Amino acid sequence: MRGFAAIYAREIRAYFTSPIAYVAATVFVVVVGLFFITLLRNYLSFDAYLREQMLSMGQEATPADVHQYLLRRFMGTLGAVTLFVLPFLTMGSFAEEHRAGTMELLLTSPVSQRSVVLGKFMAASTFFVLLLVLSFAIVGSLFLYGDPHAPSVFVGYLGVWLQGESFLVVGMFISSLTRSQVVAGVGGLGAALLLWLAGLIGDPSSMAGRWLNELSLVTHFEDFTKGVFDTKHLVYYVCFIVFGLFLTMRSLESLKYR
Amino acid sequence: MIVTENLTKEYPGKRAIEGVSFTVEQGETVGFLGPNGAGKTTTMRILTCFQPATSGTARIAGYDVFENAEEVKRSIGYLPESPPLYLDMRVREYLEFVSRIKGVPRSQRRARLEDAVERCGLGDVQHRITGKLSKGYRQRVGLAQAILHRPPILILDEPTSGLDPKQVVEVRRLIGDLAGEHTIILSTHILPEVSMTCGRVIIINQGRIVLSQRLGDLAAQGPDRETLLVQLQAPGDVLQQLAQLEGVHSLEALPEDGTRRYRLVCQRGPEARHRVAAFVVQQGWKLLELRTQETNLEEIYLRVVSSEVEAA
Repeated sequence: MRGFAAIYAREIRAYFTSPIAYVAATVFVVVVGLFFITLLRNYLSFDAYLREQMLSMGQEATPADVHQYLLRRFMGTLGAVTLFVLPFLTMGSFAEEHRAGTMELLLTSPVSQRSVVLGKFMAASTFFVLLLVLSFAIVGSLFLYGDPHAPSVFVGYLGVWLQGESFLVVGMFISSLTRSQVVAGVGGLGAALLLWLAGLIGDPSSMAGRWLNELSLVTHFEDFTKGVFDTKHLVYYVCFIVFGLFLTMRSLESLKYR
Repeated sequence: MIVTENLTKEYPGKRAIEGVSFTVEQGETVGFLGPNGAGKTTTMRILTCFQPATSGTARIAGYDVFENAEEVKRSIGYLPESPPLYLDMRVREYLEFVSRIKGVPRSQRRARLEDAVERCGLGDVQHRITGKLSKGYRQRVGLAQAILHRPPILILDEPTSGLDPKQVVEVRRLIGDLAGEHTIILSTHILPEVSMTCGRVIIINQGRIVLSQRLGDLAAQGPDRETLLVQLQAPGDVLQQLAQLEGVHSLEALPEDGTRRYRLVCQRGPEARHRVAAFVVQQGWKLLELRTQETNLEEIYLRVVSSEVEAA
């Protein structure tokens, strides 16, 4: 892992000095905030409707379940927004190095390819976690005014995080294949979208359809949003990420022969 | 210091270099000369472990570029054709990053950095962003990057390309300064650059080495000597007899093609030439040609490169 720390530090620095990251962060926070407000409004009107119904039936009015009717939807939305934002964080990771010729510097220095790939991945992950922290400032307001089930929120975030890391890996891999940031960005988004929705392609009653569904990123995401933690989903995401990192390293190695 | 044997690199549908073998001794400065697309960059990329050769071996400081890439990378400083700069970083930050990935021990980083900044004349720009520097300064940052970890070997790919004349002079002077303590290979397609900075020239054309010679041997050795080419038909041991002539310093036999050809290094001026001619006639040999050889690099370069083109 020689050189990992240096590469990680440089990447972090690059994130905080480039406009892309700030634009991505701003868009992320604003969009997430807007969705939250919409979802909150929906929840409130649904809650009011429910109370009215209960009272009219002569029952005691209880509030609608916050997790079921608000947080679960919010987590789903958060996952979808990361899909559209994260590819722009990773699009430059290798494409820009190819274009600027700095790849030659990295690959002729005594650092391992693993350090290069992991250094970049960890830096992107760090920035992504920061985005999640920002988004929590929005959801966290619920804890001030209500009493959401904290472990469920945590599990939801775990799901968003794992799924987001998968998007980052996909984006990095695509970026290692091209020297154009635009191609890497659009390609990364397309690839992530495809993997996300793979389940929709096949006929769910057929064998192939079920396989595609199991491969799809969103299938494994759903349980997390419900606040249900299942190790099989954890294993899926970890495998996905490790395999993606492995492919990226192979892709760098193959540069030598191109 | 650098030994390559039969390096061959094939790309799909194209052979970039073929059977490239050469040796560079410690402390030498070797100019890699050839037209564009001759295979200079490919050779350098193999030496720096950026790309592996299809076949053949290269050893740097005793390490194989394929088997011991790690050690090789430590022993070389490499300046690619365009300096590998992160254009959003400041010069100092950039050099600090490079010193870290090159594995310079923490305790020595600062001293090495100061040293490289000073040698490359970057003192005034060290806090500026590399993307805002002129091409000449970027090239200097590239050189600073290459010497930062004090590698015994420097590999410089067209270090003066794209610079204005003043910058070219500066970069050449810098390379001259570095020549003493590093073994240097530099590629170029500018002929005078080789005679100015290098001790030896390797001419590569269409992926093959067509000439490898010390510059001292190329030029007539000193102002009072010149090179004569003699072609004759004669029996017996011509070499011995010619060598004993007054005014002949050294001579060598060139490959025969039906007639005998010799290259003589003689006293400059008509005297020695006359003596050689008179001697040949006196011996009853048939003198077919006697001429002084232009030994500037340009002529040699054009000769070897264009004859290759004709042959192809």
